[in-house]
Amino acid sequence: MPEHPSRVECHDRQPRTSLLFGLVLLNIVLQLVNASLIKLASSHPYAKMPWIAVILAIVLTLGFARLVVWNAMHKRFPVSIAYPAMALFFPCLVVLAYVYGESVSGMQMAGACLVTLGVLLLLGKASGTRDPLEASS
Amino acid sequence: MIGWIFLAGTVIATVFAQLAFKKFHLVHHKFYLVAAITLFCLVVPCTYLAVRQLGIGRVYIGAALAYVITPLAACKAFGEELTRSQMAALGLILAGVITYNL
Repeated sequence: MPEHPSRVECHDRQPRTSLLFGLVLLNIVLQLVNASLIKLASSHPYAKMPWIAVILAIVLTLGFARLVVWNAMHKRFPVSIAYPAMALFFPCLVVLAYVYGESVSGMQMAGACLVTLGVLLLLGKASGTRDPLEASS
Repeated sequence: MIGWIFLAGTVIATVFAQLAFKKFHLVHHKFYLVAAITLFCLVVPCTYLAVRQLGIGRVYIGAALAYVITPLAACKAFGEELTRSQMAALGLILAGVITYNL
């Protein structure tokens, strides 16, 4: 007995959503590593320029790794969905800033929460009724 | 003040890099790929110089403006559509960025 069309569509949608989340997660990890390296470079005086240049070169290399991930995202999803999804990076960044000794006030926590809510709303809509591939074509 | 200028440079370069990269996938013209890579490279020193002045939290949260501007620019440039709830989501992200930097 042939499978019901809506059931097939449901099975197809699941891997696509998983792929979107997987690519977003990979991008966030790369961003956090880059942010840590830039923080490390900024803590050195300008006199240590060769050392700073090495760190920025590593950041650039990891940036190209992100470019590969972006490439995969842009091929499959519209910019208006794929790019804002990476804003999930911000709550993680606030934690990172705190770890590096920067002051994080209640207002700043609220700001990060607002960003996260915006992203959740955006992602909820993206994985809902419309197939991102259809939207991009 | 100089930190905010470098932050603005980071945001502008990021937005145009994303748009150039998407355009490359649409028209397959190498100019857009070169433009995207050049702008991506420009983001790194701009971010570094901004972080020296403003700190990692302010710079990266401020750079979130690119997450709002890019989809809006994509609507204009590529005819992509944003629903009302997506617009509201972008509004929340924008409000978050402003709140963080108050």
